[in-house]
Amino acid sequence: MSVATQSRPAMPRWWILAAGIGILLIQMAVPGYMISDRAALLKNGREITIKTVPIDPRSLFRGDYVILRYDISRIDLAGFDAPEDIREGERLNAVITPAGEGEWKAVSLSRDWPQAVANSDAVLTGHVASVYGASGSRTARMRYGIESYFVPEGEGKKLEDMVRERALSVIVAVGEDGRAAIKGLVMDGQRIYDEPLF
Amino acid sequence: MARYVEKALSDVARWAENGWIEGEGLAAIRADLVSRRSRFGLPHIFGLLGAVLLMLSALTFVAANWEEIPRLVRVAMLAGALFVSYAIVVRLYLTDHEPFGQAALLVGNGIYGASIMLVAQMYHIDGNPPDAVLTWALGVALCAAAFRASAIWVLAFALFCLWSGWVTSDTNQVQWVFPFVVFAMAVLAWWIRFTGARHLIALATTVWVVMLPFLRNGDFFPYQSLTIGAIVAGIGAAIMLARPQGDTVIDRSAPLALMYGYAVAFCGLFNLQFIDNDPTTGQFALYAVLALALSLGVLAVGRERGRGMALWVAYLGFSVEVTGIYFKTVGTLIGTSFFFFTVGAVVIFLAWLGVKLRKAQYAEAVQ
Repeated sequence: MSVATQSRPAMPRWWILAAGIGILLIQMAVPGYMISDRAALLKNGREITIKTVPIDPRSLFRGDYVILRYDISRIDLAGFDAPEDIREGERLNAVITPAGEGEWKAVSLSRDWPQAVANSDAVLTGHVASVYGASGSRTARMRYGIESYFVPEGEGKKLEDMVRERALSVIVAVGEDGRAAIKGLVMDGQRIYDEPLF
Repeated sequence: MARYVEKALSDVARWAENGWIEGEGLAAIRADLVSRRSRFGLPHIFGLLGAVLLMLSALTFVAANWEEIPRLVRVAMLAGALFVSYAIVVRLYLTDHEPFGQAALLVGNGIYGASIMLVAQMYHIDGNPPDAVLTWALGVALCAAAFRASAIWVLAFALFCLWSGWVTSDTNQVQWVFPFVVFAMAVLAWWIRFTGARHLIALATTVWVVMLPFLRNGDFFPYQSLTIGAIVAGIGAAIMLARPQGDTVIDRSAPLALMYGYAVAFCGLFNLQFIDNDPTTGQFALYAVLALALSLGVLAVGRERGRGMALWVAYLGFSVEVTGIYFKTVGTLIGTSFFFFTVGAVVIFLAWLGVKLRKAQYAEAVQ
Protein backbone atom coordinates (compact mmCIF):
# COMPACT_ATOMS: atom_id res chain seq x y z
CA MET A 1 0.00 0.00 0.00
CA SER A 2 1.29 3.40 -0.79
CA VAL A 3 0.63 6.38 1.43
CA ALA A 4 0.76 8.61 -1.63
CA THR A 5 -2.22 10.76 -2.35
CA GLN A 6 -3.04 12.18 -5.72
CA SER A 7 -2.57 15.84 -6.29
CA ARG A 8 -5.26 17.83 -4.53
CA PRO A 9 -5.77 21.51 -3.82
CA ALA A 10 -3.71 22.80 -0.90
CA MET A 11 -5.69 23.75 2.20
CA PRO A 12 -5.97 27.51 2.78
CA ARG A 13 -4.37 28.91 5.95
CA TRP A 14 -7.68 29.75 7.61
CA TRP A 15 -8.85 26.17 7.07
CA ILE A 16 -5.75 24.73 8.74
CA LEU A 17 -6.23 27.02 11.74
CA ALA A 18 -9.95 26.31 11.97
CA ALA A 19 -9.38 22.55 11.64
CA GLY A 20 -6.69 22.61 14.36
CA ILE A 21 -8.83 24.56 16.81
CA GLY A 22 -12.05 22.69 15.97
CA ILE A 23 -10.58 19.20 16.29
CA LEU A 24 -8.68 20.18 19.46
CA LEU A 25 -11.91 21.43 21.08
CA ILE A 26 -13.89 18.34 20.05
CA GLN A 27 -11.18 15.96 21.25
CA MET A 28 -10.98 17.83 24.57
CA ALA A 29 -14.77 17.91 24.93
CA VAL A 30 -15.15 14.12 24.75
CA PRO A 31 -13.09 13.27 27.89
CA GLY A 32 -14.48 16.45 29.47
CA TYR A 33 -18.00 15.18 28.96
CA MET A 34 -17.03 11.77 30.37
CA ILE A 35 -15.74 13.48 33.53
CA SER A 36 -18.71 15.79 34.09
CA ASP A 37 -21.16 12.99 33.38
CA ARG A 38 -19.44 10.73 35.88
CA ALA A 39 -19.12 13.47 38.52
CA ALA A 40 -22.86 14.16 38.24
CA LEU A 41 -23.63 10.46 38.69
CA LEU A 42 -21.36 10.23 41.77
CA LYS A 43 -22.86 13.38 43.24
CA ASN A 44 -26.55 12.75 42.57
CA GLY A 45 -26.83 8.97 42.43
CA ARG A 46 -28.40 6.96 45.23
CA GLU A 47 -25.78 5.26 47.42
CA ILE A 48 -26.01 1.53 47.97
CA THR A 49 -23.37 -0.75 49.52
CA ILE A 50 -22.71 -4.13 47.93
CA LYS A 51 -20.42 -6.91 49.19
CA THR A 52 -17.72 -7.98 46.77
CA VAL A 53 -14.72 -10.24 46.25
CA PRO A 54 -11.73 -8.78 44.39
CA ILE A 55 -9.42 -10.74 42.09
CA ASP A 56 -6.22 -9.30 40.73
CA PRO A 57 -5.50 -9.28 37.02
CA ARG A 58 -3.26 -6.89 35.13
CA SER A 59 -3.49 -5.45 31.68
CA LEU A 60 -0.86 -3.75 29.57
CA PHE A 61 -3.03 -0.82 28.62
CA ARG A 62 -4.87 -0.43 31.86
CA GLY A 63 -2.24 -0.94 34.56
CA ASP A 64 -3.16 -2.60 37.83
CA TYR A 65 -6.77 -3.04 38.54
CA VAL A 66 -8.84 -5.44 40.54
CA ILE A 67 -11.87 -7.19 39.13
CA LEU A 68 -14.73 -7.03 41.60
CA ARG A 69 -17.20 -9.88 41.71
CA TYR A 70 -20.73 -9.54 43.05
CA ASP A 71 -23.51 -11.96 43.87
CA ILE A 72 -25.80 -9.97 41.60
CA SER A 73 -23.49 -10.57 38.63
CA ARG A 74 -24.23 -14.29 38.34
CA ILE A 75 -27.90 -14.95 37.71
CA ASP A 76 -29.33 -18.44 37.63
CA LEU A 77 -32.03 -18.16 34.97
CA ALA A 78 -34.01 -21.27 35.95
CA GLY A 79 -37.39 -19.98 37.16
CA PHE A 80 -36.04 -16.42 37.18
CA ASP A 81 -38.07 -13.44 36.01
CA ALA A 82 -36.16 -12.70 32.78
CA PRO A 83 -36.76 -12.71 28.99
CA GLU A 84 -36.65 -16.19 27.45
CA ASP A 85 -34.16 -15.39 24.72
CA ILE A 86 -31.36 -13.52 26.51
CA ARG A 87 -28.47 -12.84 24.14
CA GLU A 88 -24.86 -12.09 24.93
CA GLY A 89 -23.98 -8.41 24.64
CA GLU A 90 -27.55 -7.22 25.12
CA ARG A 91 -28.49 -4.42 27.53
CA LEU A 92 -30.83 -5.36 30.35
CA ASN A 93 -32.24 -3.75 33.46
CA ALA A 94 -31.80 -5.71 36.69
CA VAL A 95 -33.94 -5.08 39.75
CA ILE A 96 -31.98 -5.83 42.92
CA THR A 97 -33.34 -6.06 46.42
CA PRO A 98 -31.53 -5.90 49.80
CA ALA A 99 -30.92 -9.31 51.40
CA GLY A 100 -29.18 -8.61 54.68
CA GLU A 101 -26.16 -6.49 55.63
CA GLY A 102 -24.52 -5.35 52.38
CA GLU A 103 -26.06 -8.26 50.52
CA TRP A 104 -28.16 -7.70 47.44
CA LYS A 105 -30.08 -10.17 45.37
CA ALA A 106 -31.24 -9.83 41.76
CA VAL A 107 -34.98 -10.42 41.39
CA SER A 108 -35.66 -9.70 37.74
CA LEU A 109 -34.10 -8.86 34.38
CA SER A 110 -35.99 -6.99 31.70
CA ARG A 111 -35.41 -5.22 28.40
CA ASP A 112 -37.81 -2.39 29.22
CA TRP A 113 -37.50 -0.21 32.30
CA PRO A 114 -39.17 -2.15 35.14
CA GLN A 115 -42.54 -0.89 36.43
CA ALA A 116 -43.41 -0.45 40.10
CA VAL A 117 -40.05 -0.85 41.80
CA ALA A 118 -40.16 -0.89 45.61
CA ASN A 119 -38.37 2.01 47.33
CA SER A 120 -35.86 -0.30 48.97
CA ASP A 121 -34.98 -1.92 45.62
CA ALA A 122 -32.63 -0.47 43.00
CA VAL A 123 -32.45 -0.81 39.23
CA LEU A 124 -29.05 -1.40 37.59
CA THR A 125 -28.55 -1.34 33.83
CA GLY A 126 -25.97 -3.79 32.59
CA HIS A 127 -24.73 -5.86 29.66
CA VAL A 128 -25.00 -9.61 29.40
CA ALA A 129 -21.36 -10.74 29.41
CA SER A 130 -22.14 -14.40 28.81
CA VAL A 131 -24.93 -16.95 28.96
CA TYR A 132 -23.98 -20.55 29.59
CA GLY A 133 -25.42 -23.92 30.58
CA ALA A 134 -28.01 -26.19 28.95
CA SER A 135 -31.53 -24.87 28.41
CA GLY A 136 -33.50 -25.14 31.63
CA SER A 137 -30.45 -24.50 33.82
CA ARG A 138 -28.90 -21.49 32.13
CA THR A 139 -26.84 -18.89 33.93
CA ALA A 140 -26.26 -15.29 32.83
CA ARG A 141 -23.24 -13.24 33.83
CA MET A 142 -24.03 -9.53 33.97
CA ARG A 143 -21.68 -6.54 33.89
CA TYR A 144 -22.97 -3.36 35.47
CA GLY A 145 -19.91 -1.19 34.86
CA ILE A 146 -18.71 -1.47 38.46
CA GLU A 147 -16.46 -4.47 37.97
CA SER A 148 -13.08 -2.75 37.59
CA TYR A 149 -11.28 -0.78 40.23
CA PHE A 150 -7.98 0.81 39.21
CA VAL A 151 -5.23 0.93 41.80
CA PRO A 152 -1.60 2.14 41.76
CA GLU A 153 0.95 -0.39 40.47
CA GLY A 154 1.52 -3.27 42.93
CA GLU A 155 -1.45 -2.34 45.11
CA GLY A 156 -3.81 -4.80 43.48
CA LYS A 157 -2.20 -7.83 45.11
CA LYS A 158 -2.00 -5.98 48.46
CA LEU A 159 -5.67 -5.18 48.35
CA GLU A 160 -6.48 -8.76 47.49
CA ASP A 161 -4.37 -10.04 50.45
CA MET A 162 -5.92 -7.51 52.81
CA VAL A 163 -9.38 -8.62 51.85
CA ARG A 164 -8.68 -12.33 52.22
CA GLU A 165 -9.68 -12.33 55.89
CA ARG A 166 -11.92 -9.29 55.92
CA ALA A 167 -15.17 -8.27 54.31
CA LEU A 168 -14.95 -5.78 51.45
CA SER A 169 -17.90 -3.80 50.15
CA VAL A 170 -18.24 -1.24 47.41
CA ILE A 171 -20.28 1.92 47.72
CA VAL A 172 -22.07 2.34 44.42
CA ALA A 173 -23.83 5.46 43.21
CA VAL A 174 -26.87 4.47 41.17
CA GLY A 175 -28.39 7.01 38.81
CA GLU A 176 -32.08 7.28 38.00
CA ASP A 177 -31.36 5.79 34.57
CA GLY A 178 -29.82 2.64 36.09
CA ARG A 179 -26.18 3.54 35.48
CA ALA A 180 -23.82 2.74 38.34
CA ALA A 181 -20.45 4.15 39.44
CA ILE A 182 -18.05 3.11 42.19
CA LYS A 183 -18.02 5.79 44.86
CA GLY A 184 -15.87 4.23 47.55
CA LEU A 185 -14.67 1.08 49.29
CA VAL A 186 -15.70 -0.17 52.74
CA MET A 187 -13.69 -2.72 54.73
CA ASP A 188 -15.09 -4.20 57.94
CA GLY A 189 -17.60 -1.36 58.07
CA GLN A 190 -14.85 1.29 57.72
CA ARG A 191 -14.88 3.55 54.68
CA ILE A 192 -11.30 3.11 53.38
CA TYR A 193 -11.53 4.96 50.11
CA ASP A 194 -13.65 7.81 48.87
CA GLU A 195 -13.89 8.70 45.24
CA PRO A 196 -13.25 12.43 44.88
CA LEU A 197 -15.42 14.13 42.28
CA PHE A 198 -12.51 15.87 40.56
CA MET B 1 2.78 4.03 -7.80
CA ALA B 2 6.06 5.29 -6.37
CA ARG B 3 8.01 2.52 -8.03
CA TYR B 4 6.24 3.07 -11.34
CA VAL B 5 7.04 6.79 -11.35
CA GLU B 6 10.74 6.23 -10.62
CA LYS B 7 10.95 3.57 -13.32
CA ALA B 8 9.13 5.74 -15.83
CA LEU B 9 11.42 8.69 -15.09
CA SER B 10 14.52 6.59 -15.80
CA ASP B 11 12.94 5.22 -19.01
CA VAL B 12 12.06 8.75 -20.13
CA ALA B 13 15.65 9.84 -19.46
CA ARG B 14 16.90 6.98 -21.64
CA TRP B 15 14.43 7.76 -24.45
CA ALA B 16 15.39 11.44 -24.33
CA GLU B 17 19.08 10.51 -24.58
CA ASN B 18 18.35 8.45 -27.69
CA GLY B 19 16.52 11.41 -29.14
CA TRP B 20 13.14 9.62 -29.40
CA ILE B 21 11.32 12.30 -27.43
CA GLU B 22 12.31 15.93 -26.96
CA GLY B 23 11.20 19.51 -26.49
CA GLU B 24 7.74 20.28 -25.11
CA GLY B 25 6.60 16.67 -25.13
CA LEU B 26 9.55 15.63 -22.98
CA ALA B 27 8.99 18.48 -20.54
CA ALA B 28 5.28 17.68 -20.29
CA ILE B 29 5.91 13.97 -19.65
CA ARG B 30 8.48 14.79 -16.96
CA ALA B 31 6.19 17.33 -15.30
CA ASP B 32 3.33 14.83 -15.27
CA LEU B 33 5.49 12.12 -13.73
CA VAL B 34 6.96 14.42 -11.11
CA SER B 35 3.48 15.62 -10.11
CA ARG B 36 2.53 11.99 -9.50
CA ARG B 37 5.55 11.44 -7.30
CA SER B 38 4.66 10.56 -3.72
CA ARG B 39 5.05 13.35 -1.25
CA PHE B 40 6.04 10.74 1.33
CA GLY B 41 9.74 9.99 1.23
CA LEU B 42 11.73 7.75 3.55
CA PRO B 43 12.27 10.50 6.19
CA HIS B 44 8.51 11.02 6.31
CA ILE B 45 7.90 7.33 6.78
CA PHE B 46 10.41 7.37 9.64
CA GLY B 47 8.55 10.36 11.06
CA LEU B 48 5.28 8.40 10.94
CA LEU B 49 6.86 5.37 12.60
CA GLY B 50 8.28 7.57 15.36
CA ALA B 51 4.83 9.08 15.81
CA VAL B 52 3.32 5.61 16.14
CA LEU B 53 5.81 4.86 18.93
CA LEU B 54 4.96 8.11 20.73
CA MET B 55 1.31 7.23 20.38
CA LEU B 56 1.89 3.82 21.96
CA SER B 57 3.78 5.47 24.79
CA ALA B 58 0.78 7.72 25.46
CA LEU B 59 -1.56 4.73 25.35
CA THR B 60 0.48 2.56 27.70
CA PHE B 61 0.84 5.39 30.17
CA VAL B 62 -1.18 4.31 33.13
CA ALA B 63 -3.30 6.70 35.14
CA ALA B 64 -3.06 4.74 38.37
CA ASN B 65 0.68 5.36 38.55
CA TRP B 66 0.16 9.05 39.09
CA GLU B 67 -2.20 8.59 42.01
CA GLU B 68 -0.36 11.34 43.93
CA ILE B 69 -1.30 14.03 41.41
CA PRO B 70 -4.73 15.58 41.98
CA ARG B 71 -7.28 14.66 39.37
CA LEU B 72 -7.78 18.14 38.04
CA VAL B 73 -4.04 18.49 37.41
CA ARG B 74 -3.99 15.16 35.59
CA VAL B 75 -6.86 16.26 33.36
CA ALA B 76 -5.07 19.56 32.72
CA MET B 77 -1.93 17.61 31.73
CA LEU B 78 -3.90 15.61 29.18
CA ALA B 79 -5.51 18.73 27.78
CA GLY B 80 -2.10 20.42 27.66
CA ALA B 81 -0.53 17.51 25.76
CA LEU B 82 -3.40 17.60 23.29
CA PHE B 83 -3.04 21.36 22.86
CA VAL B 84 0.72 21.14 22.26
CA SER B 85 0.34 18.41 19.64
CA TYR B 86 -2.28 20.35 17.69
CA ALA B 87 -0.19 23.53 17.93
CA ILE B 88 2.70 21.58 16.35
CA VAL B 89 0.33 20.17 13.71
CA VAL B 90 -0.90 23.61 12.69
CA ARG B 91 2.64 24.99 12.59
CA LEU B 92 3.89 22.12 10.40
CA TYR B 93 0.94 22.44 8.01
CA LEU B 94 1.33 26.21 7.73
CA THR B 95 5.05 25.88 6.96
CA ASP B 96 4.25 23.33 4.24
CA HIS B 97 5.57 20.24 6.05
CA GLU B 98 2.42 18.23 5.57
CA PRO B 99 3.94 14.72 5.89
CA PHE B 100 5.48 15.62 9.26
CA GLY B 101 2.20 17.38 10.09
CA GLN B 102 0.45 14.04 9.61
CA ALA B 103 2.94 12.41 11.99
CA ALA B 104 2.13 15.07 14.59
CA LEU B 105 -1.58 14.47 13.98
CA LEU B 106 -1.00 10.79 14.71
CA VAL B 107 0.50 11.71 18.08
CA GLY B 108 -2.42 14.06 18.82
CA ASN B 109 -4.97 11.39 18.03
CA GLY B 110 -3.04 8.91 20.17
CA ILE B 111 -3.24 11.35 23.08
CA TYR B 112 -6.96 11.75 22.41
CA GLY B 113 -7.43 7.98 22.69
CA ALA B 114 -5.20 7.84 25.74
CA SER B 115 -7.22 10.55 27.48
CA ILE B 116 -10.42 8.58 26.96
CA MET B 117 -8.78 5.53 28.54
CA LEU B 118 -7.08 7.50 31.33
CA VAL B 119 -10.31 9.25 32.30
CA ALA B 120 -12.03 5.84 32.32
CA GLN B 121 -9.30 4.59 34.68
CA MET B 122 -9.43 7.60 36.97
CA TYR B 123 -13.19 7.31 37.39
CA HIS B 124 -13.30 3.49 37.33
CA ILE B 125 -15.56 3.69 34.32
CA ASP B 126 -16.01 0.12 33.24
CA GLY B 127 -18.74 0.28 30.67
CA ASN B 128 -18.48 -1.46 27.36
CA PRO B 129 -14.83 -1.20 26.18
CA PRO B 130 -15.78 -1.28 22.45
CA ASP B 131 -17.80 1.91 23.06
CA ALA B 132 -14.59 3.65 24.11
CA VAL B 133 -12.87 2.45 20.91
CA LEU B 134 -15.83 3.70 18.85
CA THR B 135 -15.67 7.12 20.54
CA TRP B 136 -11.97 7.25 19.75
CA ALA B 137 -12.52 6.17 16.14
CA LEU B 138 -15.19 8.82 15.54
CA GLY B 139 -12.89 11.59 16.82
CA VAL B 140 -10.05 10.34 14.63
CA ALA B 141 -12.26 10.09 11.53
CA LEU B 142 -13.38 13.68 12.06
CA CYS B 143 -9.74 14.73 12.28
CA ALA B 144 -8.89 12.83 9.08
CA ALA B 145 -11.66 14.72 7.30
CA ALA B 146 -10.65 18.13 8.63
CA PHE B 147 -6.98 17.74 7.73
CA ARG B 148 -7.52 15.47 4.71
CA ALA B 149 -4.82 13.31 6.23
CA SER B 150 -4.38 9.80 4.84
CA ALA B 151 -2.34 8.51 7.80
CA ILE B 152 -5.15 9.57 10.15
CA TRP B 153 -7.68 7.92 7.86
CA VAL B 154 -5.75 4.66 8.29
CA LEU B 155 -5.80 5.01 12.10
CA ALA B 156 -9.55 5.73 12.10
CA PHE B 157 -10.23 2.78 9.81
CA ALA B 158 -8.12 0.45 11.98
CA LEU B 159 -10.04 1.61 15.06
CA PHE B 160 -13.42 1.03 13.39
CA CYS B 161 -12.26 -2.49 12.47
CA LEU B 162 -11.05 -3.09 16.03
CA TRP B 163 -14.41 -1.89 17.35
CA SER B 164 -16.36 -4.08 14.97
CA GLY B 165 -14.21 -7.14 15.67
CA TRP B 166 -14.57 -6.62 19.40
CA VAL B 167 -18.36 -6.26 19.26
CA THR B 168 -18.63 -9.26 16.94
CA SER B 169 -16.54 -11.49 19.19
CA ASP B 170 -18.50 -10.32 22.26
CA THR B 171 -21.90 -10.95 20.77
CA ASN B 172 -21.03 -13.63 18.20
CA GLN B 173 -23.54 -11.99 15.87
CA VAL B 174 -23.29 -10.35 12.49
CA GLN B 175 -22.73 -6.62 12.86
CA TRP B 176 -24.86 -5.21 10.07
CA VAL B 177 -23.80 -1.64 10.71
CA PHE B 178 -20.18 -2.34 9.70
CA PRO B 179 -20.73 -2.18 5.89
CA PHE B 180 -22.26 1.28 6.36
CA VAL B 181 -19.25 2.39 8.41
CA VAL B 182 -16.95 1.07 5.66
CA PHE B 183 -19.01 2.89 3.04
CA ALA B 184 -18.79 6.16 4.99
CA MET B 185 -15.03 5.70 5.31
CA ALA B 186 -14.81 4.99 1.57
CA VAL B 187 -16.60 8.28 0.87
CA LEU B 188 -14.18 10.02 3.22
CA ALA B 189 -11.18 8.40 1.48
CA TRP B 190 -12.52 9.52 -1.90
CA TRP B 191 -13.00 13.04 -0.57
CA ILE B 192 -9.46 13.28 0.79
CA ARG B 193 -8.19 11.57 -2.42
CA PHE B 194 -6.49 8.72 -0.59
CA THR B 195 -6.18 5.97 -3.16
CA GLY B 196 -4.29 3.57 -0.89
CA ALA B 197 -7.51 3.22 1.12
CA ARG B 198 -9.03 0.96 -1.51
CA HIS B 199 -7.01 -2.06 -0.42
CA LEU B 200 -7.90 -1.60 3.24
CA ILE B 201 -11.58 -1.12 2.41
CA ALA B 202 -11.64 -4.17 0.17
CA LEU B 203 -9.76 -6.25 2.73
CA ALA B 204 -12.10 -5.29 5.60
CA THR B 205 -15.16 -6.00 3.46
CA THR B 206 -13.72 -9.34 2.39
CA VAL B 207 -13.08 -10.41 5.98
CA TRP B 208 -16.59 -9.29 6.97
CA VAL B 209 -18.26 -11.25 4.17
CA VAL B 210 -16.11 -14.33 4.74
CA MET B 211 -17.00 -14.32 8.45
CA LEU B 212 -20.77 -14.24 7.80
CA PRO B 213 -21.43 -17.99 7.71
CA PHE B 214 -19.62 -18.49 11.00
CA LEU B 215 -21.68 -16.13 13.11
CA ARG B 216 -24.70 -17.22 15.04
CA ASN B 217 -27.45 -15.21 13.43
CA GLY B 218 -25.90 -15.20 9.97
CA ASP B 219 -28.64 -16.78 7.89
CA PHE B 220 -26.03 -16.50 5.31
CA PHE B 221 -24.34 -19.45 3.85
CA PRO B 222 -21.34 -20.15 1.69
CA TYR B 223 -23.53 -20.13 -1.43
CA GLN B 224 -24.21 -16.46 -0.90
CA SER B 225 -20.57 -15.50 -0.38
CA LEU B 226 -19.66 -17.61 -3.42
CA THR B 227 -22.28 -15.82 -5.52
CA ILE B 228 -21.40 -12.32 -4.31
CA GLY B 229 -17.67 -12.92 -4.72
CA ALA B 230 -18.06 -14.44 -8.18
CA ILE B 231 -20.21 -11.53 -9.38
CA VAL B 232 -17.78 -8.92 -8.02
CA ALA B 233 -14.78 -10.72 -9.52
CA GLY B 234 -16.62 -11.17 -12.82
CA ILE B 235 -17.41 -7.48 -13.07
CA GLY B 236 -13.79 -6.63 -12.25
CA ALA B 237 -12.48 -9.04 -14.89
CA ALA B 238 -14.93 -7.78 -17.51
CA ILE B 239 -13.88 -4.16 -16.98
CA MET B 240 -10.19 -5.09 -17.05
CA LEU B 241 -10.54 -7.04 -20.28
CA ALA B 242 -12.88 -4.58 -22.03
CA ARG B 243 -10.92 -1.41 -21.25
CA PRO B 244 -7.22 -2.22 -21.18
CA GLN B 245 -6.24 1.45 -21.53
CA GLY B 246 -8.86 2.94 -19.19
CA ASP B 247 -7.69 5.20 -16.38
CA THR B 248 -10.84 6.26 -14.54
CA VAL B 249 -11.64 5.44 -10.91
CA ILE B 250 -13.67 2.47 -12.14
CA ASP B 251 -10.76 1.11 -14.17
CA ARG B 252 -8.40 1.47 -11.24
CA SER B 253 -10.84 -0.34 -8.93
CA ALA B 254 -11.45 -3.25 -11.31
CA PRO B 255 -8.30 -5.22 -10.34
CA LEU B 256 -9.30 -4.88 -6.69
CA ALA B 257 -12.80 -6.14 -7.46
CA LEU B 258 -11.24 -9.10 -9.26
CA MET B 259 -8.81 -9.92 -6.46
CA TYR B 260 -11.08 -9.48 -3.44
CA GLY B 261 -14.17 -10.84 -5.19
CA TYR B 262 -12.10 -13.90 -5.98
CA ALA B 263 -11.01 -14.16 -2.33
CA VAL B 264 -14.64 -14.06 -1.15
CA ALA B 265 -15.82 -16.56 -3.75
CA PHE B 266 -12.90 -18.85 -3.00
CA CYS B 267 -13.61 -18.77 0.74
CA GLY B 268 -17.24 -19.65 -0.01
CA LEU B 269 -16.18 -22.64 -2.11
CA PHE B 270 -13.60 -23.68 0.47
CA ASN B 271 -16.27 -23.54 3.14
CA LEU B 272 -18.63 -25.67 1.04
CA GLN B 273 -15.96 -28.28 0.45
CA PHE B 274 -14.18 -28.52 3.75
CA ILE B 275 -15.89 -26.77 6.64
CA ASP B 276 -19.59 -26.19 6.84
CA ASN B 277 -21.33 -29.13 5.27
CA ASP B 278 -20.64 -32.63 4.19
CA PRO B 279 -20.85 -32.64 0.40
CA THR B 280 -21.39 -35.78 -1.64
CA THR B 281 -18.50 -36.85 -3.83
CA GLY B 282 -20.22 -35.37 -6.87
CA GLN B 283 -20.80 -32.01 -5.15
CA PHE B 284 -17.28 -32.01 -3.82
CA ALA B 285 -15.86 -32.61 -7.28
CA LEU B 286 -18.01 -29.82 -8.70
CA TYR B 287 -16.88 -27.33 -6.04
CA ALA B 288 -13.26 -28.38 -6.47
CA VAL B 289 -13.39 -27.92 -10.24
CA LEU B 290 -15.09 -24.55 -9.75
CA ALA B 291 -12.44 -23.41 -7.25
CA LEU B 292 -9.60 -24.44 -9.54
CA ALA B 293 -11.25 -22.91 -12.62
CA LEU B 294 -11.85 -19.68 -10.72
CA SER B 295 -8.22 -19.57 -9.58
CA LEU B 296 -6.95 -20.21 -13.10
CA GLY B 297 -9.33 -17.62 -14.52
CA VAL B 298 -8.04 -14.96 -12.11
CA LEU B 299 -4.47 -16.02 -12.90
CA ALA B 300 -5.17 -15.59 -16.60
CA VAL B 301 -6.76 -12.15 -16.25
CA GLY B 302 -4.14 -11.00 -13.74
CA ARG B 303 -1.32 -12.12 -16.02
CA GLU B 304 -2.93 -10.58 -19.07
CA ARG B 305 -3.24 -7.18 -17.41
CA GLY B 306 0.01 -7.33 -15.45
CA ARG B 307 -1.61 -7.39 -12.00
CA GLY B 308 0.97 -8.94 -9.69
CA MET B 309 -1.11 -8.92 -6.56
CA ALA B 310 -4.13 -10.62 -8.13
CA LEU B 311 -1.69 -13.19 -9.49
CA TRP B 312 -0.28 -13.97 -6.08
CA VAL B 313 -3.69 -14.22 -4.45
CA ALA B 314 -4.82 -16.59 -7.20
CA TYR B 315 -1.65 -18.68 -6.82
CA LEU B 316 -2.32 -18.85 -3.09
CA GLY B 317 -5.94 -19.90 -3.67
CA PHE B 318 -4.87 -22.51 -6.18
CA SER B 319 -2.29 -23.98 -3.79
CA VAL B 320 -4.71 -23.99 -0.85
CA GLU B 321 -7.31 -25.73 -2.98
CA VAL B 322 -4.93 -28.37 -4.20
CA THR B 323 -3.65 -29.00 -0.67
CA GLY B 324 -7.22 -29.18 0.63
CA ILE B 325 -8.17 -31.70 -2.01
CA TYR B 326 -5.10 -33.73 -1.19
CA PHE B 327 -6.04 -33.97 2.50
CA LYS B 328 -9.66 -34.69 1.70
CA THR B 329 -8.90 -37.47 -0.74
CA VAL B 330 -5.87 -38.91 1.02
CA GLY B 331 -6.50 -42.61 1.59
CA THR B 332 -8.28 -43.03 -1.70
CA LEU B 333 -4.88 -43.06 -3.30
CA ILE B 334 -5.85 -43.84 -6.85
CA GLY B 335 -8.46 -41.10 -6.76
CA THR B 336 -5.92 -38.57 -5.51
CA SER B 337 -3.34 -39.57 -8.07
CA PHE B 338 -5.89 -39.45 -10.88
CA PHE B 339 -7.03 -36.07 -9.70
CA PHE B 340 -3.53 -34.59 -9.69
CA PHE B 341 -2.89 -36.10 -13.09
CA THR B 342 -6.01 -34.45 -14.51
CA VAL B 343 -5.29 -31.06 -12.94
CA GLY B 344 -1.68 -31.23 -14.08
CA ALA B 345 -2.68 -32.10 -17.63
CA VAL B 346 -5.27 -29.29 -17.76
CA VAL B 347 -2.84 -26.72 -16.41
CA ILE B 348 -0.15 -27.72 -18.90
CA PHE B 349 -2.70 -27.50 -21.71
CA LEU B 350 -3.61 -23.99 -20.55
CA ALA B 351 0.07 -23.06 -20.46
CA TRP B 352 0.49 -24.21 -24.05
CA LEU B 353 -2.65 -22.32 -25.10
CA GLY B 354 -1.36 -19.20 -23.35
CA VAL B 355 1.94 -19.31 -25.16
CA LYS B 356 0.14 -19.62 -28.53
CA LEU B 357 -2.13 -16.68 -27.74
CA ARG B 358 0.72 -14.47 -26.62
CA LYS B 359 2.70 -15.22 -29.76
CA ALA B 360 -0.27 -14.22 -31.89
CA GLN B 361 -0.77 -11.00 -29.93
CA TYR B 362 2.92 -10.12 -30.08
CA ALA B 363 2.94 -10.59 -33.83
CA GLU B 364 -0.06 -8.26 -34.09
CA ALA B 365 1.56 -5.57 -31.93
CA VAL B 366 4.77 -5.53 -33.96
CA GLN B 367 2.99 -5.20 -37.30
